[in-house]
Amino acid sequence: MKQHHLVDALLLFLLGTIAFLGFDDTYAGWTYLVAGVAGLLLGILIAFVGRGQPVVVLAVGLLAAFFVLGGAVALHGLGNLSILPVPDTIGTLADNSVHGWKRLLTTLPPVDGGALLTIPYILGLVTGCLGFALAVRMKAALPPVLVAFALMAGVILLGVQDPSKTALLGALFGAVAITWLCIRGLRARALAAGGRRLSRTVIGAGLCLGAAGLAFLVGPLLPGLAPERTVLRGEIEPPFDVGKYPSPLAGFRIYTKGYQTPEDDRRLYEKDLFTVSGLPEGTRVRVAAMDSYDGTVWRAANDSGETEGPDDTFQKISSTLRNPLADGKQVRGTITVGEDFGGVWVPLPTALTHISFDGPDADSFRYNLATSTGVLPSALKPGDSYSFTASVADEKVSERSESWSGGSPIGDEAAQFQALAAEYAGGGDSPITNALAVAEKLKEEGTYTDGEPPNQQYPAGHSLRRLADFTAKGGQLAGNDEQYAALMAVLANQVGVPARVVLGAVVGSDGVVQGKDMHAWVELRMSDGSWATLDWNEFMNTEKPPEQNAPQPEELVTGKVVPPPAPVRPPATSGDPLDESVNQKANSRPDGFVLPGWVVAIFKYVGLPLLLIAALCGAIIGAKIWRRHRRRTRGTPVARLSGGWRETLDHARDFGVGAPAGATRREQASVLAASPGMDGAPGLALLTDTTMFGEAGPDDAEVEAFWEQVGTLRSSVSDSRTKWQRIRAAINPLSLLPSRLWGKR
Amino acid sequence: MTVTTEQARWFHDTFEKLCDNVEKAVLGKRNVIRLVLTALLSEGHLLLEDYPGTGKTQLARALANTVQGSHARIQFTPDLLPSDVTGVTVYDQGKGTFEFHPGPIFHSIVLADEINRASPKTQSALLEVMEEGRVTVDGATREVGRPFMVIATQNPIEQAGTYRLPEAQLDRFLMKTSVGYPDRNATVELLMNSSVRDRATLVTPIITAPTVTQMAEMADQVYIDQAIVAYVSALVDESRRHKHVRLGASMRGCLALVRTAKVWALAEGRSQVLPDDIKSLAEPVLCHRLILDPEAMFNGVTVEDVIGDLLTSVPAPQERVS
Repeated sequence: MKQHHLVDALLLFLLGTIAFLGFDDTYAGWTYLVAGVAGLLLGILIAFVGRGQPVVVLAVGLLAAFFVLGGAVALHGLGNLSILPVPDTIGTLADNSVHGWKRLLTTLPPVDGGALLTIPYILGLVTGCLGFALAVRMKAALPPVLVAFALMAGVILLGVQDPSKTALLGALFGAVAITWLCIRGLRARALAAGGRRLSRTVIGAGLCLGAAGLAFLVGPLLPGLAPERTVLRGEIEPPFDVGKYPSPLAGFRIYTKGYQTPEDDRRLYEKDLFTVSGLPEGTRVRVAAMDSYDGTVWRAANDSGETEGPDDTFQKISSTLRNPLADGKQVRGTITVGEDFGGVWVPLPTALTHISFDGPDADSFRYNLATSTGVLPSALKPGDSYSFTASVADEKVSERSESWSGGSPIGDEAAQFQALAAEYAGGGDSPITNALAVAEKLKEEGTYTDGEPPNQQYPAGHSLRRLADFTAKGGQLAGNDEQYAALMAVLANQVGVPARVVLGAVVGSDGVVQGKDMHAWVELRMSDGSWATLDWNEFMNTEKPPEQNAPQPEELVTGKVVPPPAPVRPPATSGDPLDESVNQKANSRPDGFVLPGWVVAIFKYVGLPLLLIAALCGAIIGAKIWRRHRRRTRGTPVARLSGGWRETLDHARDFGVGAPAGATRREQASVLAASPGMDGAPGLALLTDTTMFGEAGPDDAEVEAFWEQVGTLRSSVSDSRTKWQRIRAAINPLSLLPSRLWGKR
Repeated sequence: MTVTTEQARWFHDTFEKLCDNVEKAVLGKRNVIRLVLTALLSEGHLLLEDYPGTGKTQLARALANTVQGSHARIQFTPDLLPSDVTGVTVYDQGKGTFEFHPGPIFHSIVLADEINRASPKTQSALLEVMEEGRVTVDGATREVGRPFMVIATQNPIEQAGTYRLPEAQLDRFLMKTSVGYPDRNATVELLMNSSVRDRATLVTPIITAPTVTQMAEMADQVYIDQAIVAYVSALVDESRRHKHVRLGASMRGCLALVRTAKVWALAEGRSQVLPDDIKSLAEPVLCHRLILDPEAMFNGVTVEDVIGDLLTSVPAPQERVS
């Protein structure tokens, strides 16, 4: 190995090691460093052995090293056999080379390593091989250093948000990178002979100032410069979790007449929530179906387990979907969100088959086929509108119906109500009969109140504690849709009929849905798997107020510890009572057309850099055109003649052909003439000199004729190069820089 | 009066013919021949320094032979007297008068062979004639006529039995160059024709002495821009300040460079001097005028290195002044 190869290898190794230390907070222990450094060394070795060979040889070498030695380097902790390139090892390596990145980013750091050590191993291999291959094959100083910078950027992106030792590692990395650049720069261009110390100092200072100015102007536009470190871990979208959105049933009281709040504008009882058009009168519009009860609230489950496949999960959909429930009459409708509605829950009829949003970010819309519930994580805002096609069949429960014989959607949380359910059911001959008996019992004994004075003792909520109070012996059933629907669903499940709670409204003749139209009803699962509606009128008597002198209820005596009632915070808006941030976010969005998130992301991380690059290239090309025009048209004939030759030199410089500075034109031309297409350079140089230093000096006609020859030579040079070379020359900025900077021009 | 294109072309053609003619005697040394002819047409004197057997004398004799005029050869030896060079006044008993017997210096082209073998006193006898073109003997001054050129050869000063030429003497030579050993092809050709004992006899006169004078006068009319003159001045000035130089180029060196550059330009068919002409001639014109610092010489620095450094550090002019 030659000395300069050894220097390159050592500095690349040093840079790579410093970069890998950035994983210190991402991985536990030091195994990541061993894997990364081993990859680096192997990569450098492959590049060294394969120097002078085609790139494909290096690629094959990399693959071989990855699979043959990958087990020993990255999978040694997974068992003795894993260090050998057996099929299992190769499969694990291949799997982690593709999916390991995602696993690393979605695993809470520090990561133990294991198979994920494949990541630093791959990074080391590629960096070592590519960096050293470029160092050996290219004279330019920058390319191999850029590879090390890419590794550093990769480690940062794969790392954690707040790593330690950033200043130390950054300073070390910068110092070594600059040292390597200087060594390679001196080696390639022998800068020491290129100019005097003073001029080099001035040029260096100018460059620093220029870089600082550029950073000041362009820096704020670049991604990754936010006060917070940009890491991929923070950008990855976590799996959708509908459970993070508050149950709409918990905030039901905001729709009621008796809702107590000092702010009049938040009393939604008589406010327009949304307007439905196109749907027949009496159609049920569902805000949300809640099929899971955890003892505190009824909420929509991520996966209720109702079906084998993903149909009972919230999936992203396109505008059209195949809905297995859509066997009824197809209707088209439009819903326009009113001023007092919003949130993530999207009011829809059952069995949606098509939807198109006019305004909201439709890309984030998710739909649960099993519960016919739509969620828009970016939230609806007042004024949003969406059109849909749906099948609006509405099956009612009857005594002849047969219930689902499978499992219940809720577990043992509400087992305490088993006795009550049996008491209310009265021993019917089928679960459905029992469920209907329970409903009838609730309607018969129940009273309705929204907690308005003087009934403040009946609070909101439908936790086990609240339901226990609701049904306490000696007391009276007093509540509204929230408590009745929740209890009805709990009791139905206890008598063997799978039940869920649905919040929604029935469309009136004018299509306007106000707060007073919002109700909660129960759906019971039939033997064929479908869900039939048990309307709120069947288990709740809204006309019967509670008696004021009713006896105090007795505590429900059970063997279980009853959890405290769920705190119900005052809703910010009607749509999503417990999630103010979502509403604020929704309300803060401007009206009119809003770009989809992915478009913004692509523009920010791809489009903006590309735009900057394009602008830079355009500026370079424009500067060259302007320079050529100025040289040809401005100044005395002598200046224009001299400018013509400088234009020739700069054109050659753009193609990577430098002529010695300070030399005569004919000396410069002899250097240029060795390059393709520049045979005419000596003749042009002689013409320049004889015209320039002749007794009469150049006149305008001679200068113009000379520029014609300059154009001919330029064309000759360009014609002898490939299209790609011409493009590179056009955007090559070197000729715009002072010649002393390069020692040649 | 300026040189026309036709005149420049004629000069160029004549120059090339002279080169071809001299090349019959000295094979494969075209550039040296061009330098020698440039010195001739600049009306300057030439010092050829090289090791024995490289063809210095052949070149000098071939040059003398190519001009139709008188030429003489002086073989410098340690016992050579100044009067052997300049001539001597003898008393004619028959006429009862003193008569001057001109020495070999009174020829158009004088070959001073192995000049550094003569004593400094004899070497100094050439000072006046080389600078002023006349000789003063016994109080009488006599012109040597035009053209007049001294072609001196010398062995490297390290050789035994040599006397270093004084700086004043060296400065009077327009150029100093070396012939160098012939390349392989020239050597083979020389050996194949080894039966020709004296190759200088192959050279026949093709130009008259008055034509040489005419060409020299034509060269004086070649235009040189002020920017190039400033370049020459900068080079010479820089030579005086160079860290390895004890004594830089003289004003005579400046003038020599300009004079030779004019001939060089005309020899290439141009009527104007270019910076390349200066660069091409800087080494042969300046090298014998620079005296290096002893320490630099001890460190292996040569005059050629210094001149190369000067040509690199002083940028060539790119634009005319006026």
